[in-house]
Amino acid sequence: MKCALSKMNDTMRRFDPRGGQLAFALALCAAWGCSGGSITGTPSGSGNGTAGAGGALANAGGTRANAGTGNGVSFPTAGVNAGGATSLPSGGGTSLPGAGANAGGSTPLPMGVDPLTLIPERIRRLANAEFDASVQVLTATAQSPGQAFAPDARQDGFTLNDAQRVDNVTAKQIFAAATDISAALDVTKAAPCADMTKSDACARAFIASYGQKAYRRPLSSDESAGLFTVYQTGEKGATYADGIRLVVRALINSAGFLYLTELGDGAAAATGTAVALTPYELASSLAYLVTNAPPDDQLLADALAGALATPEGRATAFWRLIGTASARDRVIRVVREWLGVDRLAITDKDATAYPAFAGLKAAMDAESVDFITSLIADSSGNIDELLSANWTKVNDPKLAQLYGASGSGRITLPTRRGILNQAAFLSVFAHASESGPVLRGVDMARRVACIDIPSPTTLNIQVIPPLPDPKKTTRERFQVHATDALCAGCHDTIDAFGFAFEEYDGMGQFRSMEAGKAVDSSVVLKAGTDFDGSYADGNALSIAMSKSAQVRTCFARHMFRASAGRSDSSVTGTEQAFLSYWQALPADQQGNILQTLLTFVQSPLFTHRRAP
Amino acid sequence: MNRNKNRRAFLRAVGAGFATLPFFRLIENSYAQSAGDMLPLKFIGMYHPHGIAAEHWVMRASDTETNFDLSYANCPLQPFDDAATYGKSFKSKIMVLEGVDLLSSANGHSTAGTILTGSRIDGSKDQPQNSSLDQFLAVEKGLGADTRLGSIALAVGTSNLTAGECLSFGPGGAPLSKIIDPSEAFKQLFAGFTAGTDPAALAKAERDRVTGQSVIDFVRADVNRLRTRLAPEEQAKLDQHLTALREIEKQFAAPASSAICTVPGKPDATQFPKLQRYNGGEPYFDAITNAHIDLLAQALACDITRFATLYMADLSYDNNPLKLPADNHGGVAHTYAASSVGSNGSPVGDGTPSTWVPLAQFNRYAYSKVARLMQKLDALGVLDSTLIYCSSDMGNPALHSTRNVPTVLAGGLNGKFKMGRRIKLQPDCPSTDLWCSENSATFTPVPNSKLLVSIAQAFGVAVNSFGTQPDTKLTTGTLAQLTG
Repeated sequence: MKCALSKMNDTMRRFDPRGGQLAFALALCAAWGCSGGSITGTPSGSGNGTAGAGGALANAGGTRANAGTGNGVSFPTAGVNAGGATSLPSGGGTSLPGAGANAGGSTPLPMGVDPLTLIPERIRRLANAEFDASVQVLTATAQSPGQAFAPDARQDGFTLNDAQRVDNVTAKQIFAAATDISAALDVTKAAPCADMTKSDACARAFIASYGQKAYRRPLSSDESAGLFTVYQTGEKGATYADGIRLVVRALINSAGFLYLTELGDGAAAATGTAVALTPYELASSLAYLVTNAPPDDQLLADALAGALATPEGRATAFWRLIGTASARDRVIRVVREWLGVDRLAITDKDATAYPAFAGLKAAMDAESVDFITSLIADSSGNIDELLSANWTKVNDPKLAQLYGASGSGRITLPTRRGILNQAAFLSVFAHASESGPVLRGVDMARRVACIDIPSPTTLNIQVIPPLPDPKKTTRERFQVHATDALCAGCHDTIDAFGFAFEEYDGMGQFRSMEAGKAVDSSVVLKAGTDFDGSYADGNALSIAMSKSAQVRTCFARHMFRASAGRSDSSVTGTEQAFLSYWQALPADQQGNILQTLLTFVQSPLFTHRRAP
Repeated sequence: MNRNKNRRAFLRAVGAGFATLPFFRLIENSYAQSAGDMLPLKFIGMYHPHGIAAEHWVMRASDTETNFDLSYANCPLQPFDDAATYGKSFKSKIMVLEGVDLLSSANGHSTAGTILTGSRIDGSKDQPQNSSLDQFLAVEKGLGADTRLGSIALAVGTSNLTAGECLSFGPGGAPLSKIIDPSEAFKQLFAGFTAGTDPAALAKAERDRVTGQSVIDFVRADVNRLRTRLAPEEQAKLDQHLTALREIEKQFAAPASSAICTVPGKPDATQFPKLQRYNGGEPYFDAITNAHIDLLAQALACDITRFATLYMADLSYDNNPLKLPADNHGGVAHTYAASSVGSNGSPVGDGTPSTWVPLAQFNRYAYSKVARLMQKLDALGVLDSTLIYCSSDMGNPALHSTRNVPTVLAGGLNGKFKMGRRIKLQPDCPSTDLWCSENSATFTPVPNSKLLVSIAQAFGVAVNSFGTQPDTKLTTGTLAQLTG
């Protein structure tokens, strides 16, 4: 069986004018675990590169014209600010250290981009997984203390977001972790000092190199001086190693380590104008966005060479990073957080109603991870297939049995299509002892179709959940919503999504009968969507959604929210701008998960911030 | 009280699991020293899930404001009048308020965030819009500045940071991390306390202080360097970070109380091998809750902190000691079929009495934890200076109603509130329109903001409003009934 990366290769070819696809594909297969065999696809030459003449997104007049043959979105790069809409920082007079490296920093804002659509300048605290990855890179160890920290604050369901804070509890947890990490440090390896009569010089050298690694940029003189004071305190009455350890402890607690900055180089910028991220900021933003981890040496080198200043350069870096295991984990995390499937970890069932759930929970979780992995590595990587695939991957035959199949590995399931018909989704969006048509319906309406469903209480409606009744099916009990005019407005829509999945119980097990009656999963959707219609069940509805432009757009919105780390009204304009870029993708790429994530990375929304 | 009596009371109060002799002695001394003094005011916010079985909870026909019965069958409040279990009756130290409303404008499940904030929940961020009372008093008004910990937020079973799973919120309504592991709570409360006079231990403590302080100094300077580059909205993030650094710093500063109060034994972690809800933690929730309560009482008695919140979880699991259904949420709270007493008079009807009992049992369990906390605080001599505010996110849970939520105040607050009473507040709506809309002119709620204003004023803070509502009338003014 071939590793079916051909789609990926096509995609990647378009973004890699250097033609290094084969190496990329091999790397991707290694990290994503393609299902064996050789890799098809030959490196193509310049082919369909996005750079240059292809589909120009922002032409002189500010109109988008996806002209001609170009695949992917093309972002003009050079200093084309003739429109004068944006004033760019000159790059001079920077207060940041390493100014020499800023040569490539003033990424010009492409014409036609309104700086008011940019995300404001901000800082973002590392999420717990990012903290762990950063500690691991810094110390060359495998420790992950962040797993025990207070959980990440989520915004719109996503863990990467700028709402993360250092509050009293996390500060103490970080402080304790830093103490442990520094105590375990192998100083002879991390900060060797051959001549102990020159230990101060060794310490200064260590601070400069280790500090740069921790801060992901060179230290300022203030920062170095402060750390040397820390070293002296630690060393006094003790040893060189004690001093070094105290420096590491300070670094792990520092603002430079804990926060990603999106502030530019500090040059004065008028309120509301565009500010370009520095090369170091670009490298860090890209690395954490794609791999949940700090930039590697090559990415930093690329950034300093100005490579990340161009959309093509960012695409090249993106595809290189995508070939890593940490990028795979990150992409899977984004997809699962979008649909809420990751909440399986905090889902439990009444053991009386669902005795098998506890034993299958891990397999359900693995299924959604393996399915998304395989979708991207072995198949189209598109959301239409995510929603309509007639196959899945299971690592536990008992889960296959739940699906009425047998065996493990890749199994074909013609009557259980896509991720919404999988046990993980169906279990998360269900109650402890019964299915949850409203939970399922609301999640799908809001997060798959982007239909606005207000909370009942904002409408001053008293929610009366239906009472258990052994003589009625779940649908019959929940049908009450539709009979009340006040509720029907929303529930006609919610129930059409939710009832379609009534053939699955609270843990995703197929059922044709409930309470002695046949289960009715037929629905009529009339919600003003482009897939309104009559559907026999969740499979039919999933297939319809997989073909819907509205669903595709909703997917794109969520990929933006996952990437931007913000989703409230302050970035409504940014999201709109992102959609414009995304809509310039060829239609057959708009549903591609990696392509859509790349669109954000290539856009000026990634490289620029709005001055306060 | 003489010293021996103090000692007996003290020993009665100390639960198993934390027993170290020096600690006993020192606390006891602390207690004796403070006896007779007016102690600093302390505040604890507590949350219990699933609202209330109102039929068993509201005042009965024979009750009066000051003369009421808590001993009848299925009375959830019975632990407050149970000398056999808790050493004495605490009837005179509670105030039960009927008719408090949480104007969250959100689903009942997201409404815990309104209890201490008086704020609507911002649905797009799933958080309230201002800080909670404990944080307002401890951090913004500086009342927590003198203690080792400005405040502490504990929870049982869930460390998630959603509006519905938190009581404590920082500026702008940012949810604060909670501690669900009693061992971690122990660390946060007592780590850094140095016991005894062993020279080696003292030398190590001094070095820990010097090195720790050096780290904090550097980090503070680093945070401030970054802060100057930020717009005000972003600076708020670092302001919170700076506050947290001060909290760590207090661990190094030799606390005044260290002379009379030292580290208790660590909680026995084998009692709670799992902590998380939905991940096998449920069977240990009872032990976790007790350990949290016992630590909290000792921390308050040691004056380690004066502001705390405790979010209590559901007791849903197979074979739970209350013999409730394994799915307490679906099987008890949702099946509660109220009479008109529990449904604000609408629908009118008798309801299903058999469904009230399991909910009342669960409610009684929740209040038994408040009673346990009162017992411990009382024995350590700090109940009379403490106010416990215990509430839930819903009134009638089957309706997900956020009106008429069960509200119990407990403790003494140095006499600032008149305890030992049951109070019926005004109805939300006229009898002709029992579920009147919140936008209707006839809607006359008693928003919990008024209660929060009263508590803030009792702590000596001059505010006249608390919370965030579109109509500032809803957040302004006190609850006059509290002072009698």
